Amino acid sequence: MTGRRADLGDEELLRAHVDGDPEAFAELVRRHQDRLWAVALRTLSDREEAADALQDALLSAHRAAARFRGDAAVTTWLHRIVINACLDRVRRRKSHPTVPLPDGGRDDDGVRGTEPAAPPVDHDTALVVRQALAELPAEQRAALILVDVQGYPVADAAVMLGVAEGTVKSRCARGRARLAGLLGHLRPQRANAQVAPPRAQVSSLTPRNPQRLDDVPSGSARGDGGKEER
Amino acid sequence: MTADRFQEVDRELLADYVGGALDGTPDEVTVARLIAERPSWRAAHDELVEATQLVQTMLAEWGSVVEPIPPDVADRVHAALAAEPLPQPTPDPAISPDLATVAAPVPLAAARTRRDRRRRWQRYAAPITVAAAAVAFAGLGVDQLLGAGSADDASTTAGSSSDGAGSAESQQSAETRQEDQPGTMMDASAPRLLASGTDYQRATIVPMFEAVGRGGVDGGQPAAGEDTVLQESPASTALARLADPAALADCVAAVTAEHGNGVLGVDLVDFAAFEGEPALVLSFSDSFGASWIWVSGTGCGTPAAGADTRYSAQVG
Repeated sequence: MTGRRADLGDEELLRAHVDGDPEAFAELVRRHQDRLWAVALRTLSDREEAADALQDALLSAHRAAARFRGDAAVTTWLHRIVINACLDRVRRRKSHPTVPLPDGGRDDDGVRGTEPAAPPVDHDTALVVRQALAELPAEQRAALILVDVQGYPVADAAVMLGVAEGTVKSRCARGRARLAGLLGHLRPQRANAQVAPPRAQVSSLTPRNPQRLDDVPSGSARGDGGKEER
Repeated sequence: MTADRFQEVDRELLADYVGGALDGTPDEVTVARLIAERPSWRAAHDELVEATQLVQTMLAEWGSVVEPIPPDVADRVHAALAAEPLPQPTPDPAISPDLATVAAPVPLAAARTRRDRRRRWQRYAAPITVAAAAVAFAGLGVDQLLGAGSADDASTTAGSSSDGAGSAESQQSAETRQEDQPGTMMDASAPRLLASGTDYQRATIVPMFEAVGRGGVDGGQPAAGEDTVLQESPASTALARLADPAALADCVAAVTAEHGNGVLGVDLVDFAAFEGEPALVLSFSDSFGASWIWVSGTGCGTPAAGADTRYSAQVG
């Protein structure tokens, strides 16, 4: 049966699970667990939180398999559940903030700033990118991780995030602009320059590029969702 | 939108333009003109294009690092999955987009069947069929809540498809499935409808609702007497509109739209109260497996109030 399971497609495995095959779901998870883990870890930047979120999400998928309607690929469905679990944890942290840790603690999104998230190609680069990503609103961070980091097409990311493709593009675009400021790729705006005034004040800086986030567009009266409705 | 609004560079709008979020919209033309005509916009655009390319390169480099799941995490996840009971095998093993039609529209005898309501049924057929079946199935609860029905009526209409609440095709589908798998619609797919009379509080709604739901499970279909809590109460009057299957369907459609996570599989609807105000409390799973409790006010499903959301929480 094991060999035969390996030949089954994802949807066939999910159907087998619904039909009572005790090994089918585990096989499905084995196929996708590395990518799901990478998304969870990079979204939460906390190994234990990512492990909890992944486990919760996969248990939820295990239970809800019969409700899968085939509207999207099984792997997209699994990613969606994992992303939801991660974002839910971010939101819960916001409503129940934890005491900052002495080693750098958590920011508003509860992302630890110092815990290594991945073995980097260049340690400094990875650290700076991860810290800058942690400054973004969770929705922008999730969109960037799916599209720019993990390389999923915008259409797939839209399904995973449960929003329109235009919303994903907007979240990515605004997230990149924010990151560009945080990473020092944009010049600080002159005090008398003709730019819209910044809205948010963000305290933390990246170690390499001490440009403040409020030097770059960080929101307007429209807010993050303004362009997302298009 | 006029260019006069853009004496200053709107960085978010510019970012949307650079990121392709404005493609095909009137704003795309507006921003393109601003870039062409205003030096400040052009300079900001050129700088942002270069900067975002650098950012994308950095992110892609970071993403190129393989991030395998650590063995201890994989072991832990698989152990948790192995301990989880298998889902109940479904009578219809097909995993298909029309799974929701198992609970295809079945009308209430007492339901109003005006043509406009029928059109709304058809328009929202996919997302609301489950709710429609709920009303039909648990119709005796609602009818008795309103004092306008009987258990006999409800059981009769639940098996009838003479009224055109849904398309002929969906009715046939439901009937066929019912014939092939007796009890499927009622036991597996139809949500339960309660009138618990509970006044849920924000801090305790999750365990309270679960307790009410368990009571419903243990007790099965609500009996006639179980609805007396809401009878002649302010809540019953205020929520009477939502006992109409078409109104309830509109409410579920509004919740579906506001939730935005795909077609809902509604598990339980409680005609109750929330922090002292009459409210409809629903539990559902979205199409991606997340479970929610949702509280809507008495205006739920109306054009003015939309979902009239009072509270929502993901519970699983």
